[in-house]
Amino acid sequence: MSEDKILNELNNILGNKTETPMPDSTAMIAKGVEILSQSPFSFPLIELMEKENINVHVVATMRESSYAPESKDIYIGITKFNPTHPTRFILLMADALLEAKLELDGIKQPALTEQKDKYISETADKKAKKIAHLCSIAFDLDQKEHFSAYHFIDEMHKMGHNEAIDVFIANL
Amino acid sequence: MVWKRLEKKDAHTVLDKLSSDEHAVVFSKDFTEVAYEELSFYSNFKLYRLINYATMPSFSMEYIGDDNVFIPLDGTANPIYAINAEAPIKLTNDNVVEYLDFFFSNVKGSDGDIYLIEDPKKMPALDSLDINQQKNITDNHIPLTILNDEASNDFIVSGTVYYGGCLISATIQVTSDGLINFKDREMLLRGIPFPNNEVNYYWMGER
Repeated sequence: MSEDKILNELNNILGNKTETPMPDSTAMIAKGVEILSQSPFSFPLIELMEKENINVHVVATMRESSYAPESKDIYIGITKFNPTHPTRFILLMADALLEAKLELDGIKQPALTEQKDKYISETADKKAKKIAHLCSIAFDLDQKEHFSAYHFIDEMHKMGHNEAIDVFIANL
Repeated sequence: MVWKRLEKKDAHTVLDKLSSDEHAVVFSKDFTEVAYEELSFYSNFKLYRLINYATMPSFSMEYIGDDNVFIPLDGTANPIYAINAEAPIKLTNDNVVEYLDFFFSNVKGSDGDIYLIEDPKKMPALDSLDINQQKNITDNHIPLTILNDEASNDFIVSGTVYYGGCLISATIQVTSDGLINFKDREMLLRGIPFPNNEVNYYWMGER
């Protein structure tokens, strides 16, 4: 970024009418459904979403995130100052749907009051299941020529799943 | 600023208030911790942090609230300016820097976080830089000064900010109603990216 752009942007950030318009959430969710339906690893999540009437909400948050507080409601947090790239949105949507699926399968996050060893092992086990499944979705979509512009594997790296996706690919 | 955890009964009152808005994010009572920080520049409004532990990683959102109204912070200046008018904000020489810290903690740019650097040795993630870069920051840092323009009642804060991998000398005007404006800014140093600071993602992929 140029020196002038950085200096000018400082004032833009402070203005109260300068935020980037949020993309239409219905269009974003439709795009997520369309693309996640293209992989046998993520299509069951879309079927689950429809069968269980899982509501997908797009909310403005400080940082990009996904959240599944209840199996019937999942949230994808995007930032107003820099609305997220479609690839990130699709992976966040998959992540939240996976969380909902695990909940529906009875694999729940242990309570904080749980014994330490049990808490750690159950949390790690649930996380591993979710990330492994997310890696398979990202890898499968990435290999499809018509989605080559989405760079799903690169996005997994940027999301901090670099080690998981590298190990996943190395073991195929 | 120090977070204080709300007792369960008070936390449930906050969650009940929030859940009365059909568009609000769901935070289950069983798995949510509510904490707050006092903000010296608001007499009635506090900063609330809700963290849900039912997911890993945990999910958090912050709100400014007064027991009745809770406005979510979304990374833009709008909610803060709205509360400044509602509260209203009361700025003094003693709390204007606290207000700037609060503002920059909750308003993000497309190139990440903005820091007002009071003490370069306490800069976040300073250790991640090499020795020469750390010395450059210390040598280029301009200490913070605060002037109160009695005619306009504005505050003029001069100092150093970090944004987009750059150290910038800045004169910041803070009006009595909390509006912030960079009056002068000059690049001091480039090429000091902190880990996980830059935000690179656009919905349409263009930049």
